Amino acid sequence: MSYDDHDDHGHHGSWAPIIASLGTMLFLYGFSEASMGITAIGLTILVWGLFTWWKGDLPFDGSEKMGELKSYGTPFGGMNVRKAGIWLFLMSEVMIFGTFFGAYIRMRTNWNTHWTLRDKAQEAIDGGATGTVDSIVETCMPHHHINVAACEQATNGLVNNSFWFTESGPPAYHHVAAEYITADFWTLLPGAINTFALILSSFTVVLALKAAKNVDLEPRVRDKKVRNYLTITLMLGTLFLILKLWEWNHLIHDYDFTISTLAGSFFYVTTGAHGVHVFVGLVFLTYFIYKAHIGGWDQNNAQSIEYYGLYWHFVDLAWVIIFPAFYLY
Amino acid sequence: MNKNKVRVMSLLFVIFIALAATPQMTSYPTGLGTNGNNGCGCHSGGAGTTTVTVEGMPDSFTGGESYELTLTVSNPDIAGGEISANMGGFRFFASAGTFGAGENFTDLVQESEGGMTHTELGNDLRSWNVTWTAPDNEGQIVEFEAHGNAVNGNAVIPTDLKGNTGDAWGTFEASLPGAAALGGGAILIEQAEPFEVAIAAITFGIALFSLMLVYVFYRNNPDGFNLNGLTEWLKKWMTTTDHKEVGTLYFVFSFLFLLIGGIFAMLFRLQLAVADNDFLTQDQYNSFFTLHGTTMIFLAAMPMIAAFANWIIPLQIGAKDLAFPRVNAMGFWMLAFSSFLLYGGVMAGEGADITWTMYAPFSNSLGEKGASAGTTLFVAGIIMLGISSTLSGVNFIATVMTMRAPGVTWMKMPLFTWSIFVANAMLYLSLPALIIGTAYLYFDRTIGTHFYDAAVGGDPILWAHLFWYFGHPEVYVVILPAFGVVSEVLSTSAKRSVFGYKSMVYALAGIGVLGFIVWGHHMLTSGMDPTLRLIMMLTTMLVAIPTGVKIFNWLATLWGGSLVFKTHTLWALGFLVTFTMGGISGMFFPVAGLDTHFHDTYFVVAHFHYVLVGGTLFGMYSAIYYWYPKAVGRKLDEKLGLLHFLITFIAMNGTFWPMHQLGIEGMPRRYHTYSVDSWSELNSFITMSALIMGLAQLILAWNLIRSYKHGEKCGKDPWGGWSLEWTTTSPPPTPSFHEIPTQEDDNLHHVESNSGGMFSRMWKGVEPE
Repeated sequence: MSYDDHDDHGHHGSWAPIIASLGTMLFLYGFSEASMGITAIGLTILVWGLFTWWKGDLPFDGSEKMGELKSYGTPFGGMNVRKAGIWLFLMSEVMIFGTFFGAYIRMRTNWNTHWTLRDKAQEAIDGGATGTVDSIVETCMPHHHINVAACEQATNGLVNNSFWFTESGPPAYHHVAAEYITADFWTLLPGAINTFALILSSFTVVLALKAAKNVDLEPRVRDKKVRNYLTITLMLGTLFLILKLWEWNHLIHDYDFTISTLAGSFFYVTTGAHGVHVFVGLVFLTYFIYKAHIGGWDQNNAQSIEYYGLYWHFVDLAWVIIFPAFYLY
Repeated sequence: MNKNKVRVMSLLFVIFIALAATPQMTSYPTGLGTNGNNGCGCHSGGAGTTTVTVEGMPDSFTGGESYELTLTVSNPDIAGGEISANMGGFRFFASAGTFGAGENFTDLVQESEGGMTHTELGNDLRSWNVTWTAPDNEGQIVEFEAHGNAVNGNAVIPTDLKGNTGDAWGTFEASLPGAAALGGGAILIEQAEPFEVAIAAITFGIALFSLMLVYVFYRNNPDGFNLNGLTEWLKKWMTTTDHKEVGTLYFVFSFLFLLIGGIFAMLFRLQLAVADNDFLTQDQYNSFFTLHGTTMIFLAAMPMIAAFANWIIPLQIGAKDLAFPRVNAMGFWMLAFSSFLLYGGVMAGEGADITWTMYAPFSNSLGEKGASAGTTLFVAGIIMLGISSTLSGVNFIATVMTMRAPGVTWMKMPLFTWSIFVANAMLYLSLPALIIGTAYLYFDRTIGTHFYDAAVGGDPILWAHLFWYFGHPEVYVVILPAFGVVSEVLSTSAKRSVFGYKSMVYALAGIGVLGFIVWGHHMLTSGMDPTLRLIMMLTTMLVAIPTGVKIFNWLATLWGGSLVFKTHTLWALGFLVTFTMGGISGMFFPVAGLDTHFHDTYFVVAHFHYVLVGGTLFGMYSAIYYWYPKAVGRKLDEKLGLLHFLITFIAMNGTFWPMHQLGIEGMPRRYHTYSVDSWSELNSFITMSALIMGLAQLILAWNLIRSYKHGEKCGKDPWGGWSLEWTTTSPPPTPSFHEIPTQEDDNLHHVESNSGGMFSRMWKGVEPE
């Protein structure tokens, strides 16, 4: 989303990295110490760094002199270096969301139930049950499957049906968000709208790119089109965030589904991380819209919109997996 | 003042204020973080008008005697008379002696972390009785410090708020001399406070470092020595995006932290020198070795690798710069600023004590029994390190994939470039697990999630999986670049190309793939699924095969060559010896049965120091002596280099070899002391060796500084290497190549450069045609 200097006549430095890093540090420091003041100062400095970065990026015209390098050799021969960079970055994003899913699935498949079960088994032994903790756990969860009847017998009734299941199904500490969300149509609606909003916004980004690359259009018409499509994308993204926050609010206040339960921790942190990705995308989008507003896009530098689009598509794709896994399953 | 001066000065100002402010955090009434050390974790109110008094204090104490003290808090603004519960709290510390509960007060007060505090029951009072037993040494002055809190109780504030508002803290301080110290009757023996030693050493180091910066600036241009010149010069370094300058920043940073990490190591080696030592307290020991591990891995080894990757990769593949120079600078500054977060805790006396592995459920637990308050900052620092490494990882991979000059095909790439490529591919694919894992941990500590809290079904083992999914690739991330350096150095020194180039590349790639499926061997004793344990056992042993291929290829390279013993050659040969020994001791751990015995003993410590010091550090030292002439245009002093190598090599083996025996005898790691007298002898020897090794590194520091101006001048290719970096001038121009070079054939290219390299050395008296 930016270019880098490759000036043959001495290189220009940039203040952006050191300022943004200082901002990040102060932000994290303030957050750790629960000091909203320092957090706000840190964020301000971070944004200052971002602005410094964009200021250098604004005159970018897509020429090699301004940093658009072509790749040599396999496997990216002929491709722009920045495009390869974005794809590589997205690979690490895949791992980020892969970690979220891995941890979530581990919880949902009861891998970690062992831990609570061991405590209960010890309690049962203290209360007179025969066997060891290991043997009771083995009886209760042979090969990670639950054997309710055998378990109840082995623990003298301590670990009974209510340990594993609530009336609505999953274990007591596993009241997952999907239980509440799928309860009726009106709670499911915001998530459904969000899904379509994101998919649609992925489409409008492509339309913006297509308009920017269209050499047949009058420059003024083209700029206006690019700006409008990008603005629609921004609005759809904003709609997504608003509905998301509304939905969180609903879950917390109407269903008492808070972050202090295990399933709540996973739900809020995972969807929140995705929300942060959307938000960062919107922040960058405002810069793109500003550049469109001053007529900064043409067929020579429109690939920046394409690279932004790759990121935006990824955020969309991540949602398409998060939605069924966290809202429906 | 011009704009730059304002910017540079304001940034420096912020940094110095931060440095000056961090040690003050303890004097803030609620301590560091939301869970301060001055009361229970639930109170975070500010300083108030509360008066704290202590009655029953004698004029001087008699050694060993117990005194009954009454601590009272009073506050006219916060009524306490008519309400019955939650009226006050306190935290009472003394620099010596021990606390106990007062008579009839056993249920109301309790000892914790060397101080005294109230229990849940004692929460309902405003006056408490405690006993304090004086230390035996009467020749000292004991400092007392009490923090008291008047709360306006249940009557006004609902219990679920736990008095978050309506708190008011006050402080009491007093000094109590011993009978012998009264009136100067005895010579006072001030005991060194290790925290102060550490902080003084670090502050002194930073002051020296700043002085050195000014001096370097002065030496660069004695005529331009004024404030304007200095800010211009600092601006150049603070805004640089040139790969060579960022590489230099990485190097200076990593070397500074190598020394700081070494200071920590020497401090806790002093503690471990003899049985039952009390030089460090438990908490100090815990935070020192935590900082030592994290510093050495994240702030010393990885930046040093990044330094050489920055400097050498574009030169070796014929690129003008890295793919994303600004992102590269961002990676460095993220790393630099994260060190403030990592060290913030220890500067305030509340250093993270969770080891570099940060195991849950200790690291995520809060309050008295949990990890110390500085841990939250520490975890935030780790997240920032993760961002930094992701940025630089993407950058290096993109550079190697897209910026290779024509003719530099994958199978003609120098092995150092290959090793950096594989290491960064591993790093950036494994880091997300750490970032997410630490984010979970961070949220557990700050906003009340329960990812690792077993009480609500959370899963501490999840942390171990996430951490080691990153952690094991990480150890290859720090060793593979050393492999690359040794390949370069040995082939240059033996004056022949490396034996079995292709098998070397496949071995690197093989380690890169295998590295991702072996993490379970760190968790063999954690209660993991036996099937998974068996799989991890086998895959771990498989790693020995590509590593063995590399060792034998290096030996074969030496066999057919004619070796020149330069300092970098010595380090590479030393690497072969110590790394192989470390590799062999590593083969004990994947065997689950043996691991059950060796787990968390000094045998493990010996193993990973053999591979990290004897492997990574020796490899990086080799790189310093090898590439310093390329960066500076002058060679390092060979005599000092030889001295540095000999002392470090011997002292390194003296330090870590005996740890194998201690480990087999069962000495556990991460314990601040031990009571087995028979271990003292070996431990004293280890401590002495460690001190010698630490001091020997000053030889290198001196060598680096001195040779900058006084070293022997050298041309393009002082050692006779024939990869592309030796074809540019020393130091190289900016951008690093004016014309992108084309690599036709390695040896041909070298002969053309006509710099007295491999050709003329191999064929003495025969001039190249």
